[in-house]
Amino acid sequence: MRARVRDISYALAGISILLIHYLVPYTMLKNAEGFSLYAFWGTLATIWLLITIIYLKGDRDE
Amino acid sequence: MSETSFLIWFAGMLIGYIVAGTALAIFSRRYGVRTSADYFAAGHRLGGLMASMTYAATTYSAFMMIGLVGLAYATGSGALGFELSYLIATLLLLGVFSKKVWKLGKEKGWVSASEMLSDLYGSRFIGLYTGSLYLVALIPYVSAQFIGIGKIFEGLGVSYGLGVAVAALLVLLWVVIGGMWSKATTDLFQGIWMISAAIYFVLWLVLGYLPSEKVNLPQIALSLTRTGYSGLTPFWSISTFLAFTIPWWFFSVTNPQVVRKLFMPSNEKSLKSMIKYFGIYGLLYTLIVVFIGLTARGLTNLNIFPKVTDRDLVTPLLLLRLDPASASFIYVSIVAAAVTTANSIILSVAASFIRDVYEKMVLRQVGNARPIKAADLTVVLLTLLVAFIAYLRPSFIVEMSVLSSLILLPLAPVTLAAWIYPIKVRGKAIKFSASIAVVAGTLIPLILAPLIGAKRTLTMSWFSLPLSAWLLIMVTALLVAGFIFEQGLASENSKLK
Repeated sequence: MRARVRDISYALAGISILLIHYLVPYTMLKNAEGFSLYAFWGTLATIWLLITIIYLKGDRDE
Repeated sequence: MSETSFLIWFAGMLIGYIVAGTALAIFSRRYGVRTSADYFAAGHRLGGLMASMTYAATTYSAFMMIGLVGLAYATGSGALGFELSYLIATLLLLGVFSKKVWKLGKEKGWVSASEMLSDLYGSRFIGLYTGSLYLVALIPYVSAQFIGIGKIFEGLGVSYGLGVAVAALLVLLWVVIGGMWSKATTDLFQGIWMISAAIYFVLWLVLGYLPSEKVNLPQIALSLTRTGYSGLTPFWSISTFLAFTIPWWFFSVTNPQVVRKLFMPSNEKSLKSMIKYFGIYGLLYTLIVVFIGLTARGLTNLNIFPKVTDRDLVTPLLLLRLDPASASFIYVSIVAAAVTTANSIILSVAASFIRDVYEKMVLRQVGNARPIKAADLTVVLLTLLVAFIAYLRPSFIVEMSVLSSLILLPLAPVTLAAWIYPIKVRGKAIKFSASIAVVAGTLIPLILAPLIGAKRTLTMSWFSLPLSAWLLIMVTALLVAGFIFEQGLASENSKLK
């Protein structure tokens, strides 16, 4: 049961990250200055990569 | 730089790369190749590092160093969003499904993606149709890789034909020597070469070229802001962004060269390492490549770098400013990126043919098992076909290569449904609806492309949604109809009983 909650939370987090990836640039960063849009997308992808690594690490090997 | 000294460096670097790669390929033979599972899936025994590097090297083609640098240069920061949406979606799909697919693959001994679909749905038609679809959708994509290598040679003053011949030779050699084992070991080597070259390129740009032109990064950033390239340029309308990104969300599910990689790790730990290291590699490579393109744009804005109208020439023009040895190192990394993608696709198409046609239909009747020879022969024939097409360079091939992910997109809901409900999808109604969905979904872009052009097919929109979104909606609706019908049939049967 706990594993299932974990899996669903991970999937929902991924979908949220994808939504943020689209929504924030098209609403708040459309006219971003310098490398701020670049930094936003880079940071978001890094956060998602870290979440994925932690999720995989916590998953029990068989 | 002098042309002769550059050619000498490039030839030397290329020969070194070929010799080292071939030595590794020969070394990999010690792992043994006896069955088609050894040949196509490294006997399901790949370690984490090798699995991750073959996944990364296969995914990231010559498009990164040439196409994506140019896209960032021409369209601004939106190029990063486009490429990173792929990475985020891929990590999500791998995180959610890879363990289940890896287990099923190991249990059933899958080596090809079409074999997986055929097995899950219990439908030979789906396997055969998908295998043929790979041929139609991906051969233009592989040809485009060969054309890319040919163009590099041509640009360096060597003949185009020689470039295509070198590409064909490398693809053949590094597959035929040891099948997936030689491919995986050479991918590890090439993957390291690719990322090292990208890191070297960006370090030279920031620490060497910019100071030599008396420019710093804040000035580049300011020039990008003034010209609008720092934000979303008009090119990246929401509809175009969706049209470009949707087919790439599902790349890891629809493209056989990466789906197959899920069957190869030796254990769960290797599978997790594959995902982790691929993610780190992909993020780093993407950030570097887009940064190079944006910096080049900033330099153009500051009148330091010429204005480039053909965006594929941004990287070659930047490399002209490098010393011959370093430029050759980066050029060979582009050759490596093209070779790793090309041989992976050829191996995937061959795997579909050998497992779904040769072993299931021919061997069953003839009874004489020589799958390795048949696999070698298939790889040779496919490579020759691709080289021939690349040599002729028909314009529609490059156009079609743009569409490969869109043509394969209808496989996404069909594959995901089978991964989520591996038993349920064997029902007659679902099998039927999946077959109709795949055929209808893939025929639409294939019919539209010759009528209105490949690029327009990719970017056309209806009610503000691109064709890719409509294809997903249509295929999903057909599948859901199949599931509902199946449910109805089941309750009807239970009533009768």
